[in-house]
Amino acid sequence: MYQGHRKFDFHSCTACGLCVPVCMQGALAITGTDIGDSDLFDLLMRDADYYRNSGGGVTFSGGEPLLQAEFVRVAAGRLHSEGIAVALDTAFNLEWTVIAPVLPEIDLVLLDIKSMDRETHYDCTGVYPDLIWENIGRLRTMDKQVLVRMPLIAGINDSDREIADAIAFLSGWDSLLGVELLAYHDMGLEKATSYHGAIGEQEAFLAPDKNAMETIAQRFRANAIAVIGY
Amino acid sequence: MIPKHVQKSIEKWFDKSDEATFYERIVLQEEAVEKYADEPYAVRFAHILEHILANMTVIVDEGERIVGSVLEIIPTAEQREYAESLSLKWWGPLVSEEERQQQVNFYFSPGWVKRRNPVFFSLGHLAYDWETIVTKGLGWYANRVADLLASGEFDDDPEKMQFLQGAQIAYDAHSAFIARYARYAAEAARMAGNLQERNRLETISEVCSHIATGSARGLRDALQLMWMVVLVSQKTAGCGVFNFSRMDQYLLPLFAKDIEAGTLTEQDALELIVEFYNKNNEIMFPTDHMSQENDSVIKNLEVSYDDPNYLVVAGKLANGTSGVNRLSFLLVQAAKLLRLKNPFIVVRWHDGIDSAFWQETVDAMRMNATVVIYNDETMIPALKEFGIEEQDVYSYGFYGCNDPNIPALEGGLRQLWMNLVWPYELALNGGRPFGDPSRSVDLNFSLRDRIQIGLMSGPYAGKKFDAEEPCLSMEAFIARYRQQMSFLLDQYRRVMEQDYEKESQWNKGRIRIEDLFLKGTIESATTWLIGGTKYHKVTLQGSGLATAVDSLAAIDIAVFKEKRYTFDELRQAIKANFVGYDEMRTYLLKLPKFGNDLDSVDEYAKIVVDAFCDAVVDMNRKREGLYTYMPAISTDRDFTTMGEALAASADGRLAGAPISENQSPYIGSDKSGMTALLNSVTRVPFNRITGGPLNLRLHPLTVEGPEGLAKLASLLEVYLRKGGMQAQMNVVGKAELIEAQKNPEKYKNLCVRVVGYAAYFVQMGKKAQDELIQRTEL
Repeated sequence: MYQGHRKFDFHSCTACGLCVPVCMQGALAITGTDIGDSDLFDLLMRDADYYRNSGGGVTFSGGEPLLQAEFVRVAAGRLHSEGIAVALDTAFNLEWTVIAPVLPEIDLVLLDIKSMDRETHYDCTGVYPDLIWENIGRLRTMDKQVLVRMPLIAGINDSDREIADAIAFLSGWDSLLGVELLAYHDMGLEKATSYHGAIGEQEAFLAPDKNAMETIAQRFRANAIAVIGY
Repeated sequence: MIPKHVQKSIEKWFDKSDEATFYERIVLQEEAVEKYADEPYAVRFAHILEHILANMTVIVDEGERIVGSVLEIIPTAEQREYAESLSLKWWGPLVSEEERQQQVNFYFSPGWVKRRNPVFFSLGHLAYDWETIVTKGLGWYANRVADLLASGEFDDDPEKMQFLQGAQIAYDAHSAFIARYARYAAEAARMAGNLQERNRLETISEVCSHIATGSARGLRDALQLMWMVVLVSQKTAGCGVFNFSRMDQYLLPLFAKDIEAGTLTEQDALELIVEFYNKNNEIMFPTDHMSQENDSVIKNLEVSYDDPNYLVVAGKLANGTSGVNRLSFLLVQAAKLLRLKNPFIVVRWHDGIDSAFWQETVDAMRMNATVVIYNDETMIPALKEFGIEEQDVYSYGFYGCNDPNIPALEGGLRQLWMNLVWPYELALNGGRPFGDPSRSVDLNFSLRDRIQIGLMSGPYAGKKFDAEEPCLSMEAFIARYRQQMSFLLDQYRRVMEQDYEKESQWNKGRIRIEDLFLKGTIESATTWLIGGTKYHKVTLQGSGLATAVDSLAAIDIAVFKEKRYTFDELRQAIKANFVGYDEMRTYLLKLPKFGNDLDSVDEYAKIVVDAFCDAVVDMNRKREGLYTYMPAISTDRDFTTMGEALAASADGRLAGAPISENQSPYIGSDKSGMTALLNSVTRVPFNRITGGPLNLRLHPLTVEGPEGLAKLASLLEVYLRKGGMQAQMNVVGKAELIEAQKNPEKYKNLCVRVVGYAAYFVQMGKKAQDELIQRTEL
């Protein structure tokens, strides 16, 4: 109890889960469950008819699914053998030796470009993009379908220079389906608060306005890069 | 695309006062009731109809091509008082239930019957023989009855002769009424200010003059004739809630002839259909008949004021081919254009349905048009199991609310509400409800139960056994559940059959307006109610499916599989409404629930529904008399009422709480997404179930654009292919999101796409919700 309220010290929580079954209101829950590749496969196959009829499939997303790369490889392989299409949504910030074995089982890779400026990338994400770009370079040599997504924040990564660099970086990539331009939103802040408690003052960011988004989309199209959505 | 005059009429409708009424009907009806008081029932009935139709105001509205409306006024205080005094005389507290039963037999919920004079009575809910109406015309009906009267066949049966005499007067009254429209329009044409208006009125006059007795020459004649028949039945005699049946089949030859002759374009046809649909809406009143507590419902003086008229599109034909044709497209497109609540379009899906047509249908659903889908692949076997012959089964359709109907071959609404949770409670407690034993109803159901609500509210006693007797296995418990189910239904059948016996005496010589246009009634000079038609059924609405499924599964898991509690401990906790059993209730609430694609609970969907259907098969095997029984899964809006008399249940539900709604999981318990929900529902053996709705709620963002349409069309098709029976959906907008924000417990499963990901709306924070609400407005 803290100032008349129940308060959890999440730093001391060992995720033993004992609080969950006795919480009458279901307010406490462990997000995520442990599951083996075989059980996951069975679970996914329950929807196989929906995937097949719609031309859809399964996306491994996260977090970073490649932190369990072997698991993804096995599960994706089994789905593949059933004719189910598999997509991988990854930050790509891993050693190529981790990524490479999984790729044969993947039909579509979903990648993000957060910024084409090394320092901005570091400021916004906490890592330099060198490894990501290197991996993208390798991926380009393979005939693998790719969709690139770009979250755009006004004044941060929507400059002419950023866009020009992104266009240069992506041009001439035959198996690139296109880019999806995502206007920034701060809905994730609420999610972060629910997991970590108050997260302190946040800098206020803005999405580029509608006209700016349209202009950016036009620039990609003018350079023969399809814009899937924005 | 919507003709201007229709748009205007729609706007007028939304501004209509809820006090408006077709008052002259009441006055004309009562004049005639008195004037013909000494006549036999059927003849008097027909004379009342004739008097109303000969004297009610004829209206031809601006711009319209399909005519037929009633004059609505706001009644004065004296007029209202007069109308109320009539209701009191017919159905007031001084009239005993036995007298009411004798007047109108089955199903008289007070709100329904109150404006209906028992000597001029109908409750509708059926399909006329529309094909014969349009292809042969009213004159053919009148000639046929004249021939029968002259044939001598019924000369020694005065009641049958009266029935036929009544029918003859009634057909002529219809024809004369339509002829009044012809004369009125001709007169108006002479006064018309311009050529265009004169042409319009002259055509109306010509059409009405022809269809007063003749058969339809084309689509316009057919729709005009159908509309006149509907107007008369629905607005004068209260025979509402029609099934227009397979309009794309019986109107196709006329439509094709028009197109071929070049007298009609598809665009003209679409506009005529739009106008016909809107007529169905125009005669309704701005209220919700299921909200009996609403002032507008209480005050309403109409006999039929919020009745959905159904129509059927697509579906298999008897020769195995698809019924989809050009007219099917137009009938769905018209609904998509109008997006009104009436009429209610049923699209019958079947394997191999034309994919462009399917897209059109799902697009209409996505746009919140009143379009629902049913599955031929389950419905046809189910109807056959419950006695519908091969030659009739392909004509099937529905009337409100989702009851199956074989057009023209059966009469109106008869329902029995079967709370599927009752037999479970009785199986748990020695055949006795947990509630106050002095309230328990033994063996003979009250007249009110029999006639009005079925086994809806209880508390009904079942087959008695020693409650202390241990239940050693789940199989043993299921056997008890099945035994209680059969017992309740069979007792009900037994007492109902005594009622049918009485009805057959009371209804000799009586006629109802629907007898004029069914198959068999005129030929046998017998009202449908006592044998005039081929089929006679009671639809059994199995209610509380998910509550029953969850509760049985909970016993299986808690007592037998996990052995967490003994059978007796569970029984005591339920008896105590879980007071002092918090830990047990918490455990039970967290057990697997129907709607999440989990075998351990979903397998009970088959067990519960088979228990229900087997009991119905048994009823039909033992039945004596006319009526057979057909199982459906539905609660309508009564899932709250039906929970009231129940004790707590093993799914963790508290005493008196609502049961689950229609075919849905218990509110808030499906948390695994749309495909998991649909997978669970397909575990119901729908090839034994003859109707009932599955309500789905989608956010517009999840189905937007061509990609959204393709996904939704595919999702629904897979659901049906996997054995789902029906689906209807609400694609929700801003208002509902705000409501969800205020009452998140009711909207737990509302799935929204935020940008590149999906989330459950109520799990998002307020700010994110607000942002989404803003965005939806765009």
